[in-house]
Amino acid sequence: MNQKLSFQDLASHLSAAASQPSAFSEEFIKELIALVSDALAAGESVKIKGLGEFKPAPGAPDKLTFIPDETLAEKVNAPFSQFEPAALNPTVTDELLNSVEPIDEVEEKADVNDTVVSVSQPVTVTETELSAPDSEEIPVYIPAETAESENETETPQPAVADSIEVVEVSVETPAEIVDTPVTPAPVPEIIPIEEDEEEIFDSKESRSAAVPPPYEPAAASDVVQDKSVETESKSGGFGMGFFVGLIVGIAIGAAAMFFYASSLAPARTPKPVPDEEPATDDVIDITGMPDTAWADLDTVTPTAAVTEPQPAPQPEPEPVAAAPAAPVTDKVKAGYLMPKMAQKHYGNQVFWVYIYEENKTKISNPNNLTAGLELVIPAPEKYGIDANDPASIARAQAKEAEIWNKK
Amino acid sequence: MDHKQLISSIAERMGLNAATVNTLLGSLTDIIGENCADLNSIAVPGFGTFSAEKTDEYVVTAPDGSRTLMPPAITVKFSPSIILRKKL
Repeated sequence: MNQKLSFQDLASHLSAAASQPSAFSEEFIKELIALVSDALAAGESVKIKGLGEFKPAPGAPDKLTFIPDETLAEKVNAPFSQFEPAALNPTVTDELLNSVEPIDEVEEKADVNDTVVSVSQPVTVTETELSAPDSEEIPVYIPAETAESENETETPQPAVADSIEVVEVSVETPAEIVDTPVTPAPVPEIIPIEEDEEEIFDSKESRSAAVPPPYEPAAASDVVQDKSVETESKSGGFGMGFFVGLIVGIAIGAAAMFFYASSLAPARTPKPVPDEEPATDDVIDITGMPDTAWADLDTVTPTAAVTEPQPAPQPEPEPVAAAPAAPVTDKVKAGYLMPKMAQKHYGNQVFWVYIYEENKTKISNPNNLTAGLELVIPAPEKYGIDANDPASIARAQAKEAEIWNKK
Repeated sequence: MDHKQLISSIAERMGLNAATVNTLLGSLTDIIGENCADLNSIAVPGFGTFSAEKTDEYVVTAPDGSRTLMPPAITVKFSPSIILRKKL
């Protein structure tokens, strides 16, 4: 196998074959050479049966042409002699053909008997296929195992035949060839996000199965399995893997940001606002409050003194108005009940209903108030209380009717 | 010079009978053939080198566009040595 035999080797082989001493063989060969050379020099062509014909060719750079004998040619070409030129289906593309490695298994014949490791990938597949040595499935290209009778070539023969099977399986029949282009196709289908990118990167395969995104495990495994029949595809896998890695990196970054943001979120609530420092820059103002609302903090005393809640110059959301302003309370006394309170705080007795509303939890029966009970006087804005507004009064009266009806 | 002439010439030179020479030549041819089938090359000093050349399969495109896959093949090649070339 790829050995270069010397003259000595040749002579020793001849000696062994002819049962002659090596000196005799050497002389024989030398004589033969001399005769042939002389004949050629004289312009004669020399034909040796079983070997071939030597013709002097003055025009050729080698000055000689050698045409091997038919039997010799067949003997040498034995591994491939079963093959015929095959017409190719239009479905067989150059890309498909180029994806299959050229056969070098003939040179690896000797190694097959020793180790399987040194043999390239395709051959391992055929070893499993050998369990069904029938050539029915694979037309044309399977050489008959018993074709050759030479003893010395018999052993390497099946190995070479095995390797031939491999290539032909992947290259030969149109039906099988059509299958192979299909396998890369599912990959772009399963990943709709990456559809645009498929045009840029070779969609051949995602060989970098080390980074399988969650949404393409099936496609990756399919591609990997089919590769056991074929051999490597070259550069397409890199681009695919790079893009996959990029997507994963972005996803991880987004997740990290989400968790970081959510960890900040609990600190942002509207209630304990006085304790917060509203001047902090990175704090997100989710209350949507106008800044001037916070300025009222300084003007309102936190003590529980009964003060008239000043009508706010701007419209403020109710919870904010209630929280910063100190809650106004009043105490129930004998003869000093809700209507009187309403008169005092709002300017009209009818607005007692809102005081009742505000303190519903404390008051089970508006007709029966406990002396000393402290009631919260809501701010007028809360219920739209305006003694000067007939509509407001009407509302209060309606409310009062409602309350009595419930009783 | 054809085969028979060659044999008789060798036989004459070496003092052997034609049958023996024929057998020897046949054996030599077999050795060359086997080695070439193994993709070995045989160098004969003063004469040349017998080698086997493997050609991969290739696609031939006919003028009408139909394509044919030519199978791989191993062929025997002979390359004359410089001495022989000088003689010719």
